[in-house]
Amino acid sequence: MIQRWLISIIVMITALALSGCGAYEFRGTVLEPPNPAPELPLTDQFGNAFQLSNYRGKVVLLFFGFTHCPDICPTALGDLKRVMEKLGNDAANVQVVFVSVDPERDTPDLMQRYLAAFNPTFLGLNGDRSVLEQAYKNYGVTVIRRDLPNSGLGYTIDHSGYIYAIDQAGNWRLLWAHGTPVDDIVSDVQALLRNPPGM
Amino acid sequence: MRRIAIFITAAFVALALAGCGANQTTQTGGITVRDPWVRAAMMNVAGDQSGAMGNMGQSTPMAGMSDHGHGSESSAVSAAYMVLVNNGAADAIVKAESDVAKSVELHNVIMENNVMQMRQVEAIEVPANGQVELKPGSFHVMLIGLNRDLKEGDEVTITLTTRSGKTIEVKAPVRKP
Ligand SMILES: [Cu+2]
Repeated sequence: MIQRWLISIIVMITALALSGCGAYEFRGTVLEPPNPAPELPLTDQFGNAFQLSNYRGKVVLLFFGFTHCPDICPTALGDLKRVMEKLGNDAANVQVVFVSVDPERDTPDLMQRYLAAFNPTFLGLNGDRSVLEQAYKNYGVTVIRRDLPNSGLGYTIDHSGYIYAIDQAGNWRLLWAHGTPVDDIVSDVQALLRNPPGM
Repeated sequence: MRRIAIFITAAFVALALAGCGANQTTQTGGITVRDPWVRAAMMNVAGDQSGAMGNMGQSTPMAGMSDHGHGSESSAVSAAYMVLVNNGAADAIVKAESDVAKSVELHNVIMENNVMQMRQVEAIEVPANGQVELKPGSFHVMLIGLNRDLKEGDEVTITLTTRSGKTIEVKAPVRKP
């Protein structure tokens, strides 16, 4: 009698453990179904043409921001820098991409300096306004230019603070709200790296 | 009975006066600054000896996208953070100055539906016997048009002016972004 009871408990615990192994629960917001991430035909801070499709096999972490945003954007980029550090060797399979929401002021020179302060492998993209605007639209990024008449800045850009994850097959998989703990992002990226999608 | 009334009145007057006095003395100690820091930022590539970028300084290929600007010149910016502690009556920071940047402004960041909105503010209010934290994603002293590189270990002097007319000199160390 007791034996049967014990066996059923063991079976239950085993089932639970197995189900836990199988399904990793992402901490970011999962995009279902995963769709191909829209292409970003832009130019990086070194003057090289950028194509998302060149990064198949890597996880791409995407952030939209601008260099004259010394407050929030550096926080997000600082978080991404720490994500890369914590990933260790896995960081070689991850590319961080920063897309400008302020093409006028984000000159290649400024982008180089700005991004180098975080991680020299980070890419900063800029390009034609129409291409950028299509990218904002495709990724659902709010970008609003606001004049600051009494400020030395002249204007600022209100913008969304999400970080997006694109998997090794080029599918747009996850988004993290601003302020998501670094460890949560690391954990999600490791899960993507562990289970590459069929390519 | 009357004597008691007079006594009580006197006590109230004394208390009120003492209250005034106390305000006055703490006023001089009013707002103080704790844990100031400034975000590291680079002015020019040539000056970047961080090593990580190696030869980046020599080559700045701009591939025809160097001049997007219409008179809006690019300039390096940074921000200063600190805790404003107020031991006295309600006061506010109404001005910030520093020789490190062309414009020094008081800013705030408001987050709405995950959209970040940075705005210039007239003042940063510090409640009586309270404190306000200047931190990323919130209030900050914005440094616009840096006059020099801000490298880790450097120190930036910022002078704050309170609404009550006091000036506070802040020595803020530069930290990594
Ligand atoms: Cu600001």
